[in-house]
Amino acid sequence: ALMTVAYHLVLLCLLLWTSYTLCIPSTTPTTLYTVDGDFFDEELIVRALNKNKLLSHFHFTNEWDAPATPTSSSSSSSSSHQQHHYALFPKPIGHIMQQFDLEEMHLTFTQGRWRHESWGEPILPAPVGVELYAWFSSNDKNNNSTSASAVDKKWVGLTHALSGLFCGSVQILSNAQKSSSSRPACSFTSRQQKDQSSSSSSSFFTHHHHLYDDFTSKCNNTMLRHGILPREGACTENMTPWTKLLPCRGEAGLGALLNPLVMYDVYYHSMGTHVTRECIVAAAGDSSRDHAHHARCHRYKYRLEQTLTLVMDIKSSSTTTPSTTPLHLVSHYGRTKPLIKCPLARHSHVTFLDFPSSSLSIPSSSSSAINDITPSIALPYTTLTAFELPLASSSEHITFTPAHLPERSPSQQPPSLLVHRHLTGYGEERGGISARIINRGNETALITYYEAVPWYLRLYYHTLKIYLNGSLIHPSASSPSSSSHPLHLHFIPGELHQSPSIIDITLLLPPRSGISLEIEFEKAFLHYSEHPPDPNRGFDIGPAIVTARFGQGHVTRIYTEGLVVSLPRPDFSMLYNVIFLTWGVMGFMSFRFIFSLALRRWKHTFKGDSFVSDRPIALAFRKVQAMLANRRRRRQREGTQDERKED
Amino acid sequence: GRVWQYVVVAVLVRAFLFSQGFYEVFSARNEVVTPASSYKRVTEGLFLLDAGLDPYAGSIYMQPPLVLALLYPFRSLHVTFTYALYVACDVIIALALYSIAKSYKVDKDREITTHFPDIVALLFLFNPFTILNCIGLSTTTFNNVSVVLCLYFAHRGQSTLSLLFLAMSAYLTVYSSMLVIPLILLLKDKKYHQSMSRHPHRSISSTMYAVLLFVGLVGGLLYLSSTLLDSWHFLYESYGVTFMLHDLTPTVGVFWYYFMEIFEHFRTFYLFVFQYHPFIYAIPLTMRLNHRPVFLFWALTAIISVFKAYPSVGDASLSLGLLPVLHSHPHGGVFALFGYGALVSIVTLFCCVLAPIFWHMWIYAGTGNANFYYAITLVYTLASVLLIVDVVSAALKIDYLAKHA
Repeated sequence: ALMTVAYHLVLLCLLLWTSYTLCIPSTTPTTLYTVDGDFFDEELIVRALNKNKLLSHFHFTNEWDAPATPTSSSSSSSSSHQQHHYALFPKPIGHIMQQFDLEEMHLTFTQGRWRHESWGEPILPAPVGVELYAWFSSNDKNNNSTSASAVDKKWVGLTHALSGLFCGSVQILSNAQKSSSSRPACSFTSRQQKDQSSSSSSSFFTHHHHLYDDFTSKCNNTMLRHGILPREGACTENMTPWTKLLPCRGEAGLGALLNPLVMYDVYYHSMGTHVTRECIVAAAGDSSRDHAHHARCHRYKYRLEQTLTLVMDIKSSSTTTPSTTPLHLVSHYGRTKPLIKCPLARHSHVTFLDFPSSSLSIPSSSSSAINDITPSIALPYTTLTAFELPLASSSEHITFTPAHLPERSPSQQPPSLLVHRHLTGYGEERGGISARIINRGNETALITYYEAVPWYLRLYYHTLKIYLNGSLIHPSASSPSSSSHPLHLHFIPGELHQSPSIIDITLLLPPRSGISLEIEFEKAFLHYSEHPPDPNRGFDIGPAIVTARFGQGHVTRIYTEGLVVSLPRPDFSMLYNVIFLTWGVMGFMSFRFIFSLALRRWKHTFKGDSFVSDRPIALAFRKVQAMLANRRRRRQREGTQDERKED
Repeated sequence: GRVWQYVVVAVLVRAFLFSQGFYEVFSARNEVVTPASSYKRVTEGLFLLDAGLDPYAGSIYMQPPLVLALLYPFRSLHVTFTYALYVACDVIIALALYSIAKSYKVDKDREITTHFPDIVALLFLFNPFTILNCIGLSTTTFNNVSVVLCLYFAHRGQSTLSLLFLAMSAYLTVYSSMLVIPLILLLKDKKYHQSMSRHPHRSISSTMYAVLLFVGLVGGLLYLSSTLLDSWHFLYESYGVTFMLHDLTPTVGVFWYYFMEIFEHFRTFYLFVFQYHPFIYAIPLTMRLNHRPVFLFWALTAIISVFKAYPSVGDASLSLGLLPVLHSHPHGGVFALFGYGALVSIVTLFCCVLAPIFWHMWIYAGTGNANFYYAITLVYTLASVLLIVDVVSAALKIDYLAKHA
């Protein structure tokens, strides 16, 4: 009883403390983020792409140390997550992680395509639309909850929960009929696998073939589920719940910059929610992870990373020439108040990349030692200027001068890998998919090409052709199934109305060379109700995922262009007509004809020497015919009589 | 004889069409190749089998496993051998039709010349539908061979071989199983003619024997298939998928547009109605034509070729090929009594011209819609039904004349 009272007291104090600090941000809550070892960091990376365009990357990190539940099965979790105490960590995310027993989850809402050629490598790659991928826990002793069907059931639950949380159509991902949810074997590496591989293989690219065999044999992501919704548009209704997950909401800190009116008037917008769970086995202090023995976790360390990447124009008075007058950074995001730190954040910094010092002016109160601050994520760029935000509000602004920005960002290198994909053929009967991957660098890359094609495109795997620098490597002339170049092909044909067709190809791409893939498909004829509301626009096919692994463990992932495939359409207004006409031919014309034939008596139809019809209309016709013939005969007779008279 | 000249010319014509790459043209036509008879889908099934996967994965290949086994040796050979197999099938059908027609005693009263068996072979070999079917490598050819050989051996009185080929046909398409009725009647007829004595109770036992043999042979073929694949799931993947009509690719039949447009909650009901519909005709036609098993055989073949789930012009080529055989039948001479002969020919020609045009307008040009093509398939169905009605009524008229005139 004493323990409960103490617990409630602590809770109450914390509640008061939080509300107090939120109301009066000028006080210094230095100890707040250290409660329970949880913390919240916020960071903004601003990069000048050229004189007119800025890349902004918001990165909010929220870490939470929670005791593990006795059994992490979904049945008991409803009662168990009441024991947890959520200080900074958003409760809905915690619930989802526990309910569906997730190791890792990544959800992104993206608008616009990342332009690799002009913007370089993205900080976090994401496809157009919605992408969700998650690893489910395999630590459970109970085999029933780790079987494929159980994981699929959790996946359905997860998509529905997330679609409720983020007001999106994420639940369509678990609809087998419409989506192309699948299980990429080699394309994604969970953080857990990353840790393992970095510790084990240091001499990465010394023996290509050995590494290759080693890699392809390790490809087995049975606990992973992945899905892309290419057509889902990201918008403010997704942004609002996402902002609510931040401890300071959109009120203070970098969250205050999230202005929906500006956030969607951009070239590229990608909003991500990434959650990972780390298992801590031993007692406090010793945080060694144990994956091999599946030991029971005592505590879990949850890490929520919310990211928002924007590429937008620098708003200036004149459209042709960049302005020479300094601009406030906040005005770039459509805000006016100077930036202040979120009081609940441990660190809150802004990092400028590719900004010449002449173009930047930082308020004196906020500047801290630049070298002390390192960005929380590994960036593929080097030149940076970083500083901590002030806690108290001041009238001073961070400003930059667009005219002093470089013509082209100095740290930006053209990406070493180029990937394109397009449709071939014409008409609505059949077509093909063609993809090109070009390695412009000086390093051999281990390429994994993964594509999940929805079932309504009937892929013919025997038509797959792979060319390396123009020469055919698959199917090879010598034997149809194997190939001279090391090549790992994995096909899963899609089932009608159930699952997508999978192409999973892993191969080594030598430096300064390219491969191209070609495959043919047939378009299925769908039931009228399976077409989308605007059927003439066609069906969106999600991008292919190209994962390139270079030496030194450098991994890049590129999403290709999405495709729009036009499928043959029936006439949607013909429903009743088709029922009527088909039954007219089948029932009236054939069934009735043949059955009446079987019952027919020929007595009435056989007239003297030939068969005649006994239908009413034929009888009437014959009567008229006979009448005419009679009249003619009579007239002829009269004619001959007249002639005789004349004679 | 002259038939060999026709065969040589027919083979040369086919060789020329194959060498000019007409396979690509004809196999892309949905009137020639259906989901249940596509050679491209067989190739895909063979590829999946070679890759160590289930050939039925993906529901692309939906034919029984023995088709796969038949074409399995050809996958590594040059494509000419596959072409040769299909041409050989056509030649076998033509020769079988020739000898069936020849087995009928020449009737001096009717204007049937001694060349008529040659003409039967000629009409089959140079029927454009047969050529399309052969060059398109449609697996309907194998069904046609089985049906014609079944009839051939029935005419020779070899009941076991005849039932074996019928079992093969029934194994390829379930609809053929109703041909067992005319076949038993025909075999009984032959036996009666051969022995010149009638034993009613023996005929019942022989009917039972024939039915049991047929069921046993089909069961044997299914068992053989299951041992080849080590599982029975092919039953659903081939017959079940065809029955459920998951693939709505247009054919010349009536199924595709109806099930594209039918309300979802009526689908199952109408599926059963449409699939059982061809079997219904067996009852009245057997009652009326039981003394004319060859006519009954033809009528049921023609009904299958119109009302099966995935009909093609290959099915029509079988019934059109058997039609001259009926004319040369001792009690035949059906052509003289045709009422709709001109109408049927003109409407069929009309369909042959308009179907590719309407297909192009719907699928490629975008200037027409699905209704255009649907209308043509309806007209084609109607023409085929009129032909059946004509032939059956001609047979009944001949009966009436024989009795009363």
